[in-house]
Amino acid sequence: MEAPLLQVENLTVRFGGLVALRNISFSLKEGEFLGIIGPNGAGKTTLFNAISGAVLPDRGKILFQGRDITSFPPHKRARLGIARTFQTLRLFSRLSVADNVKLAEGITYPIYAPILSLPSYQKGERELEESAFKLLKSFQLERYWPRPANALPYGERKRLEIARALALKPKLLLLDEPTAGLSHQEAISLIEELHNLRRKFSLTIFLIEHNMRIVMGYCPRIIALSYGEIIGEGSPEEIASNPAVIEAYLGEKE
Amino acid sequence: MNLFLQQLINGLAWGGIYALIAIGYTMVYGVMQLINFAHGDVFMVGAFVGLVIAQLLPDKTSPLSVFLVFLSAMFFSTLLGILIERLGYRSLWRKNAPRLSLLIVAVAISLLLENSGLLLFGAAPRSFPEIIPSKSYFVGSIIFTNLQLIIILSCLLLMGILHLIVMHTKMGRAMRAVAEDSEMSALLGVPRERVLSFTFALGSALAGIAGVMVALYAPQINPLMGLLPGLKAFIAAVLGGIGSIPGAMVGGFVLGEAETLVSAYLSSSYRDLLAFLVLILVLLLRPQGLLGKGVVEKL
Repeated sequence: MEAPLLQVENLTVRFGGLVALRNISFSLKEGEFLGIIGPNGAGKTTLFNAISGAVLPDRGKILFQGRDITSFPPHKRARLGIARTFQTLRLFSRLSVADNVKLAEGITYPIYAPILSLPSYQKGERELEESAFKLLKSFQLERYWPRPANALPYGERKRLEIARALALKPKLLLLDEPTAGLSHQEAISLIEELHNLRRKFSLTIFLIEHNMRIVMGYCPRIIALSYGEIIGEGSPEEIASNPAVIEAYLGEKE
Repeated sequence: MNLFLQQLINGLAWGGIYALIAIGYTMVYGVMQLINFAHGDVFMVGAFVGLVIAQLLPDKTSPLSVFLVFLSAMFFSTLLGILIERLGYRSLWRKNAPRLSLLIVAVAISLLLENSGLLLFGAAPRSFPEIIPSKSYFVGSIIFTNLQLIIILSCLLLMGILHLIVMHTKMGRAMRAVAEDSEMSALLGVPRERVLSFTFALGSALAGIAGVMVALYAPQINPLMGLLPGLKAFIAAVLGGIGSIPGAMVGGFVLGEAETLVSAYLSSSYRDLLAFLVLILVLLLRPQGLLGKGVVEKL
């Protein structure tokens, strides 16, 4: 059996007296499309923050490709291949569309290189330009290349955010409600696109989603979170018939 | 009319110097939301490094000496800037300390540098050797000196280089990203601490050069010389819009010109008063500055 891509062990996160996550353990296999559901305040976003490094856990461990990354700073985790998007748009609105994507490619040359305009720097910059263009093209966003990111329509900005996350060449993509604010049609086509991307880039996707039809329709495996604890895990059918999940969602029916 | 033009030219040199220092304030503020009050003293250190090197050199007025004086001032102030960030701010920044704590550290570093300067060099002003022999040029009845010309042109050149770095290099791109959304940039793999170091280095290099320029222009230096130009450059940065690099450039030139015109037409004793009046007015009427963007609260 091959080791899981991501393994979370007994993760606990406290904010003062509030326990945001209690003893969470689960794992993600390579290539999986895992959904996570739960009422507001269940700790879904906190879990993403802990995995991406924005929040340090009080207890527990996070292993990525078998490596303990619990104390790694966010940028190191990003470089290892963990990318995330946010519920609200977090594009660099004053940077151009191209720069938003290029940014994720990282700084690999010494800082004096651009001043001296070294050949290695120019070559790197050209390659960067090409790969950024290719990526944007695959999202049909290349025509916005020099425009500032906030000049794009909402739906396009959502897709730019996903394109930017992919510029990291991630192995794991954490998507925090990517369909928020989209119409049902747009949401479906975005999820379809994600499905294709997963195959094309051999991605593993971990998805927070409120739209039950989407989670149930597209995620073969689902985790249900409530008050910082996992209350259910399994296939959409198992989740739908899980009494604890039904109880947590009572009065919050989709 | 001629007097007015003459004053404009005089003001340009000061404007360029203010702008160079103001850029350091504004860049650091951009990536760290910190007013680095030690920045004016980095400028002072630049001037003193220039003095020490100039005194060591046998042929002070050769172009090579001038180059060496500027280069060493730039080198040591860059080093100082990196040290200040590493030793003074980084651990607090890592802990997400309140901005006030960082500001207190800034004032402490400023006092430390000033008093170290007093200890080493004494309080008496020292005259700076004339490494660029003064020449005057006449255009009609307007006089300008070679020094003014050199200062203005090098300021413009440095701003051009800065623009290239900020707009067209990966590090510049990373700086802009950290300034806009620091957390998100880290999640995209930007090594923020390297970006902070680089920002301090860049700002301090400019301040060091400005230090030598003032030393040549004034031409007396003392360990407290960073105080007033430092504050005025800060005002220039606020005037242009703190966090905005073009704003710092514009703010520097506007303040330099305004000060010179006030000294010429009213009284030179109003010169310092003007800067602080500008600060108060900007904060009252247009706190985001001339080119600053309105404060956007993050959701």
